[in-house]
Order: sequence, then structure tokens, then C-alpha cells
Amino acid sequence: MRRKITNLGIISLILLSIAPASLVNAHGERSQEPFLRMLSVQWYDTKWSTDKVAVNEEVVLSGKFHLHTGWPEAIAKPDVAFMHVYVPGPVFVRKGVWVNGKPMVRSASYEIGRDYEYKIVMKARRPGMHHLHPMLNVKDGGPNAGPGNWVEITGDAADFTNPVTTLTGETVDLETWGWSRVRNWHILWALLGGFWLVWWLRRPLLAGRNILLRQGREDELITPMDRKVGMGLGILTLALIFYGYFSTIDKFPITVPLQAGLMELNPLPVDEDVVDVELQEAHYDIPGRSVRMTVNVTNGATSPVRLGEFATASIRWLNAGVAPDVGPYPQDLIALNGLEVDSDTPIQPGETRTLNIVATDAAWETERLALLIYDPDSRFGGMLFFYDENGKRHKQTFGGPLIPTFTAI
Amino acid sequence: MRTVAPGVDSYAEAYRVHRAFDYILVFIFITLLTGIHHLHAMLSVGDWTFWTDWKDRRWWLFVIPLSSLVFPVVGQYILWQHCRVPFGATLMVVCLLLGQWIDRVNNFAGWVYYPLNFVWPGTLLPSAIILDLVLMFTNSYVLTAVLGAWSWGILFYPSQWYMLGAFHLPVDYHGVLMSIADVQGFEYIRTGTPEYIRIIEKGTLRTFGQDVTPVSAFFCAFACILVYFVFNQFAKLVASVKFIKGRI
Ligand SMILES: [Cu+2]
Repeated sequence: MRRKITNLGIISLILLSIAPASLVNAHGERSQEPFLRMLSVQWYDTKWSTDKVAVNEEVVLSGKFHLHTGWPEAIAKPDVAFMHVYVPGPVFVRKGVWVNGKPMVRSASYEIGRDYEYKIVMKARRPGMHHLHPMLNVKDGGPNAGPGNWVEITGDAADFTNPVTTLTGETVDLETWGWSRVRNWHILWALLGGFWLVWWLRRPLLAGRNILLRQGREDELITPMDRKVGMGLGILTLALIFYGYFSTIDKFPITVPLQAGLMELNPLPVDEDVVDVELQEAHYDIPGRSVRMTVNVTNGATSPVRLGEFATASIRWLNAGVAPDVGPYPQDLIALNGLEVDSDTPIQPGETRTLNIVATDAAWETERLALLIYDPDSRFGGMLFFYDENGKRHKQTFGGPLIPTFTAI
Repeated sequence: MRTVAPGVDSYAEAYRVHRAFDYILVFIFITLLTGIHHLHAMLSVGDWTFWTDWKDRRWWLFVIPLSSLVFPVVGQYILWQHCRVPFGATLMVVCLLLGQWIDRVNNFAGWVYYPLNFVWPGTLLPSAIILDLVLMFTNSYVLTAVLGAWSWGILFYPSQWYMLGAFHLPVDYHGVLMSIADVQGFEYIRTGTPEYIRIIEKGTLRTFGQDVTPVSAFFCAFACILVYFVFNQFAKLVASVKFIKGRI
């Protein structure tokens, strides 16, 4: 039995030491339920300004997201949400976040059905390969991570500095600011507390004193010297507390309390020039790793449009030739020729047309969206991007039930 | 208990055995208490001990002394009641701090690279020394509860300001007023800790204007008196040999 326990202990120690390594590689963005990723926050136009930076240099992560009108009942609405990033801890420091042009250092209220544009500035701190995602955390609803891209940080972590200028005119390095005061204060009190322990520990402590106490010789246990030392220690303790408090007020006369509370935020204006999409039916062909959708498209814009892209859960299926160059985007999240449209001629303004769309890619499976059939809400959703001949884009979101097909079609 | 032959036959040897027994017990207690007291603090008031941007004027100075008083009360009772050793509270707080610093240096800084100036814990040693001294001088749990536990609560905030003050300098952060602690919390990313879960001065105590700190500290101090009584009684109940009656 004892041996078994020892073995168990060793095994768990080994497991514990392996765990961080695999955490670094994939920090779980795929483990979120598919209906949540396809129906809540829809990320688009995500851009990383670079994929390689030196320590102290900055990466700008920018893009937009739409909050789907089919927001699942199972998760809380984004009445309080925080524009966040998904990285393995402080390998970057976040130097600023703007949503719709406003600094967004705290949480705000976001509106379902609307769009938001963000810009996140990250300063490289720890060398290594790090996966960097935008993320929206919804209070009582949890996190929703956007697409992730690898960013390599080169150089030496020891060179990192993080200066911040206070309103009192000092420029401080956040890496070390205040640390010597914290350390010295802790050491000082550890010395005093340690002294008090040693004062008693240096004589027989437990059994002997217990025996004397039971013999009624209590007064021998606390000597006049103990009382004198105790009195001195008490006075010193109170004096140090007062000194610490008032000397700090003297040194930092101007301070502010911690700041909290919701920030004000307005969504991006609604696009007037819309192409309407209505989902008729959708089937998920599991063996073929593709989704077939029938949609009614009404062109409410002023110029003819063609379908260029279908996107959901940060994965993009492109209709080659229609969608313009997408720029750098994570390879595993893009299907360059993954979109087939049965009627690919321009849809005229005012025209309503039924399109049969097939979006095929292994990403359905590798990104674990196929697991939708195990979700409590087997609806899916996504965005369709239409382009006119001048490259003007019209985005429309849609959603509805998705019926799985388990046998090859 | 069966009669056993005496294991020692001189005063000097008895003294040595006695000391060895002390050291073994002290070692076991310190290791054990470091673990459980730290665990207790992490589970009950973890975020308040971890981050500078949780150390506010209303909740931090309330929850930390309150939750951290439980172990010292029991420690005081056992050591004072049975041995008249007046360092129960100090010992418990030293154990807590030992656990906290092992955690901060190895996990927070060593493993995930948070700078230590963001993740330091407060210290209750000033409060603990006073609590122990009050018990030693009064030899009364009632007076220790009223004077000692009250001081334990009231002294917490002033005894942290030497460390915390530097983190409350104001910063104009992209047009938003923040303290340095807020900036630390924003810049040093906690992936699993979105900003909205912070509990900063939330509550209905709104009529005292600027003076939230003293009001909270007084309230905490009175609550500490209650905690002291309750856990002193608890210790009296369980720290006893009555459960093994008939065997000794
Ligand atoms: Cu990732």
C-alpha cells in the first residue's frame, strides 16, 4: 500500500512537470464548445502587425468583432465584458487597448447585434514563441478567444524595461518599482517576528512547560525578563507601524485609490448599405468535412455583389477570385479555395437569389467544430462577405439549425 | 498507558531528549502549518493576497485580517493553554508568510514571470506580535479578544502602507486616471482573470465620503473580536485529550 502511494506520488509529480510544456503549445482555444464559438463573438479582420519582435518592441493586434444576434441562451449576455488578450501570462505586457477608438482599460457594456473595432498594443517581454489571440471575456459567460497567431520574441528578457510616468512627474519602471520597499518591510518584520520566536525557542519549550504548568508553577514560565523584552518589542512594533505609515504619507503625499467601474462604449454605426442573408437550411456532411448551406440573398446595396467569403469561429473559407488578398492570416484557419457557390454571377441590386454554398475544409474537424452535434444548442452561425466589382465589402451574419449527415453523400 | 522503562538516566540526557522532541515538533508544525495556512489563505482570500490591484480600501483590509485570524487564535490557545508559550499568533503568521513567499517566488515569478512587485502578500506580523503580547500580559482570552484582536484588525492597514503607498501614485493612462497598481493589473496579463472580477470598493457603505479606510478598519476590528471568541471556543472544544479518554 505504502509503495502504491509512493508510486502515485511520483507519477503525479512527473505529470505535473510535463503539464506546463503542453500548455504552452495549445492553451485550449479549441476546447470551447463550437456553438459558443460560432454564435457569440464573431471575429474578423484580425491582424498582427508582425510575427517577430525583439524584447521591448511592440506588436499591434487589431481587428473587429460582431456580437451575433443568435447569442446562445446558455451563456450570459455581454452587459459587462472585458476586451482581453489570450497569451500565456505576461510574456507580453499590454500597453494599451482601444475599442472603437476609446481607451478600454476596464470592462464595458457591449451590445448584441453590433460591431466593434479594437486595437491592442503589446510590448514583448519574454523571449520565445507565443500564441497571441484577441479575447472577449463576458461576465458570467466566460472567455471567447479569437484567432491566434504565433509571435516570436527574440532577445534577452533581462533587457526588458517598462517605464511609466506618473502624474506626480516621476518615471518609474514597473518591473521593479516599489519592490525594495516591499522586500525591506517584509525582512524587517520577519526579523522582529523571528526574534520573538527564537526568544522562546531557545529554552525548553513544550513538555517541560506543560509539566510546570500542571504543577501550578505558572509564574516561573514568564520571567520578568520576558516581560521586559515583550514590553520593548511591543513599543518597537507600534513605533514602526506609525513610522511606516507616516513616513510613507510624507514620501508619497499624493495618491489615488484603485480605480474601477464600467467604461462608456458605443458600438460602430450600423451599415446602411446591406446585403440581406436568410438561411434556408444547412447540413453538416461529417465524412466529407463540409457544410452545405442554402441561403436567400437579397442585395440591398447599390452595386452588384458576389459572395467572397464565409467565416465562422475565426476560420475563413474563401471564394478564390472574388475575395481580395487576405493578407497574413494563420494558415490552419484559412481555406483558400474552400468555398463553392452554385450561382456565382453578380447579384444585382434589388435581386433576391437562392445560393447553395459548400464550405469544405479539414478545419471543421481540426478546430473541433464538428463536435457541434454534442452541444446543447446545435445551431451554427457565421458571416458572409460579399464584394462588388470595386472591392467594396458587405458583411452579413446569419445563423440557424445545422443537421448532421452521418453517411457519405 | 503501559509502564515503560525510563529511557533517560541523567538530567542532561533528559534535557537533550526534551529539546529534540521540541525541535521535531516545531519542524513538523512549521511544515504542516505553512502548507495548510497558506492553502487556507489562497482558498479564502487568494486574489487579495496575490495582486496589488486587489488591495483596495474597503475589502482587502477587511477580508485579510478576518480570514487570517482563524489560525492564530487556535495557535495561541494551544500554546498558551498548555505551555504558556506566547508566540502562537506570530508562529502562525510566520508560517503563512513562508508559504506565501515560496509560492510567489517559485510560481508567480519563477514559473509565469510576474514581477514580484505585483504579487507580494501583505504582512500580518505587526498585528500578530501585538496579539501575542496582549495575551502574555493579560493572561486572559477575553481581554486578548477585545484588545488584541481589535488591534489585529485596526493595525493591518497602517502596517501595509509602507509597501502599498508607492503603488497608489496616480497615472494618466491614455486619458484614464489609474493608480500604478491598476496599471500593473492591466499590463501584466492574467489570462484567466478578466478585469471585471475585481471587487474594488463595492458595497453600500457610502455615507462616509473619503473615510472608507478607517470605517472599514474599525468594522473589521470589531468583527475580529467576534472571530477571536468563536475560534477560541472552537480551539477549547477540539484541542483537548478528551477524545482519547481512557487511553492515557
Ligand atoms: Cu493559442
